[in-house]
Amino acid sequence: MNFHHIGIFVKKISTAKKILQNQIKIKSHSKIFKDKKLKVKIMFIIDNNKIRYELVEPFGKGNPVDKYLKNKINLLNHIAYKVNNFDDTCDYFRNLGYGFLIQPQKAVAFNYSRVVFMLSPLGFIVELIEQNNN
Amino acid sequence: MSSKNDMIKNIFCKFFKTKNIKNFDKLKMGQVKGWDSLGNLNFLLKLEEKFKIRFSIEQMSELKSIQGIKKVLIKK
Repeated sequence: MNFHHIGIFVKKISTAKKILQNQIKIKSHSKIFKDKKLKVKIMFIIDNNKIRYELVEPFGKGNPVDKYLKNKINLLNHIAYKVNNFDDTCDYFRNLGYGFLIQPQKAVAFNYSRVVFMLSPLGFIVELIEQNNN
Repeated sequence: MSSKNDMIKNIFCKFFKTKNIKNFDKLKMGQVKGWDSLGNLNFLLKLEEKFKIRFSIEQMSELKSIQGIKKVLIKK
């Protein structure tokens, strides 16, 4: 498993980026990806320590972000890792008691590689991203 | 069978801090305070702990009603 990013839920990506600029030195950022299936807009930001942040904005009704924004909880939302053996890794964590928030789904921001969100027994959310070796 | 049913109801009431539920078997996610997607997942994990079972990844994301949960639990 290789660390990929820290996911942060935000109301508006552009505003969040401006605020983050006061806190970290932004070296580069991606375009904004719109994922209709996952109902989120996403931008990746890389800072001068090469740490990647994922800003996640709600996109449409029934999105997974609004309820967290409303309750102001879990806004520093998840830690994401890229994994080679995606299905085996999912089974491994399921057997360890990690809960799965969704079934694996293809994500626009990862060139349609599969992603899944799990709840660690420590109570925080972990995202697995399928490593695309092509 | 009925003891398993009672156990599910007791765990549910304790977990979501609720009592006097009418039509328990017809309840679905969203109809009780706190029973959102994260609450549902934590409830399923509690059931796993109490019944010493494991839901599949597919079941975890699909089980969102008492009827569905009971159907799976009674089979296990």
